[in-house]
Amino acid sequence: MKKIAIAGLLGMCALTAHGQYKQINMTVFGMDCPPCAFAIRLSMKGIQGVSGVNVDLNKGLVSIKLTAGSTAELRQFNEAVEKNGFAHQDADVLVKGVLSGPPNAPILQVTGTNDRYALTPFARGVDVTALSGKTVFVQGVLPQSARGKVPAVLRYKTIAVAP
Amino acid sequence: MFFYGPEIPRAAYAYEMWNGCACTKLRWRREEDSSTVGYGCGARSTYTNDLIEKTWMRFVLLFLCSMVLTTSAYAADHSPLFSYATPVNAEGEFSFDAGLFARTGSVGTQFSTGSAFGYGVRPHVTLSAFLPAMFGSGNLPESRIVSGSEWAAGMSWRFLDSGTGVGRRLESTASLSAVAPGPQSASGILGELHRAPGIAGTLAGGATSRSQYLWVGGGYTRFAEASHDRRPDTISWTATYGYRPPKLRRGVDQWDYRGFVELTGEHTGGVKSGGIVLPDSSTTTVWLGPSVLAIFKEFAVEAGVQGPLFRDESVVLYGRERIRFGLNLSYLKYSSRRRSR
Repeated sequence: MKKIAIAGLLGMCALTAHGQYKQINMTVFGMDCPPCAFAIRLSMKGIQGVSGVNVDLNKGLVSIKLTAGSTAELRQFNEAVEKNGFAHQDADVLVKGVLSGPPNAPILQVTGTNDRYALTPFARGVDVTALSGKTVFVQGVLPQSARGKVPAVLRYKTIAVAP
Repeated sequence: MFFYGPEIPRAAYAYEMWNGCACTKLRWRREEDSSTVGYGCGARSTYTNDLIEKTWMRFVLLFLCSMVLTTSAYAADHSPLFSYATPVNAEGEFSFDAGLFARTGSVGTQFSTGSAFGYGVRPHVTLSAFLPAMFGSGNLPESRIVSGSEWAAGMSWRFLDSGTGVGRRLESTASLSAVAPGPQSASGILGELHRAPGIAGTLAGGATSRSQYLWVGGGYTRFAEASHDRRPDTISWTATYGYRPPKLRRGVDQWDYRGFVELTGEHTGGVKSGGIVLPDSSTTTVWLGPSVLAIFKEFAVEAGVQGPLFRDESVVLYGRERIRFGLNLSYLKYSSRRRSR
């Protein structure tokens, strides 16, 4: 009976957990051969919450899919690139978070993580003032950051209220 | 490359260390026995046991450290076979290499085999150890390009690393290794010398891409003097061009092939024997040849051959070296461990 109760509790936790980063497509410079890609893939898969990693050597693109309950932070993916001796560049991301801050300087707090980004529009015409305080899906670009750092800005392309 | 250039081959060092440890342990055991019997003192026996255990542990740790620290600098996974190159291990990556190299000349053939271990302590710093063994009876000049019988332990530091584009890097790596005589002597004139440890340094720089590779490098090795004998100082230099055809620029889960053309050169100083530098014992040689590297995930196979372009060496002392060839197998153990800060 106890076991069933514990299992039920764990199941509830899993259901209420929020996946934050849904997909990260990171450009990585310096990977010239399959062992480079193999090492990157292995490092990425070692991050909790990663469900799949694909590496395209000819495009230098590392595509990471995350599970619904993932709490992985961008810093971990950058570290995985750095420890293999490569350089991370821009990353296309699909991320879920809560919008806050003043209308002219919105902030995206990626819930379940410590990641916070100042949102700037990738192109004109997208207004986010009405979405403040709401949980949203954001698709955009995280620009390249220095080694050991994460970007402060997310250049969003699309924003939609999360169901 | 397997016998990483500047570095060095060394098999004897570990052997001597191991034997030294074994002898010491045996001697202590005898002391322990005599103290127990002679004095009949339990406290002294306990003290001796502790001392033995502590000291033995220290030797074991030293030995293990020497194994880890001992080798060369370059991960063979991305590198040419005979030449200096820049790749180092990823952080937390172990690399294991096993190879067979041969030098054939008019006065015999010299084979050398060896095992190399590397560990990436940081993304750009690799510790390595190299444990060789030699067989054959060639009478050939000193070479740091093709390994001899010396053990080596060293560190490589990729001090310049610039990802310039997709698949492209510009990088430079420096290596420093300690060289120690192995249990096996060289053959020929070098085999008659008293041997002493030495030090080897190398510097390599180059560019890599999905299609082409270019590396240049140089190295210098100097040995200490032992009983008025000294092995020759060696200056070596290499240049490598690599190419991967478009059809072979494939994905992670497929075999990856690339070909290299390797140009290597060495100048060895005079051989000092009994306090006298032997006349005409200095040599200068230049070699050229192809090699092919095939990699599948964490496994790599590489083979190559070199022929002489230029030889300035005493035929009387060394004969004529005609051909060099090598075969190397690598296994790379990557780490999925995350670094926590």
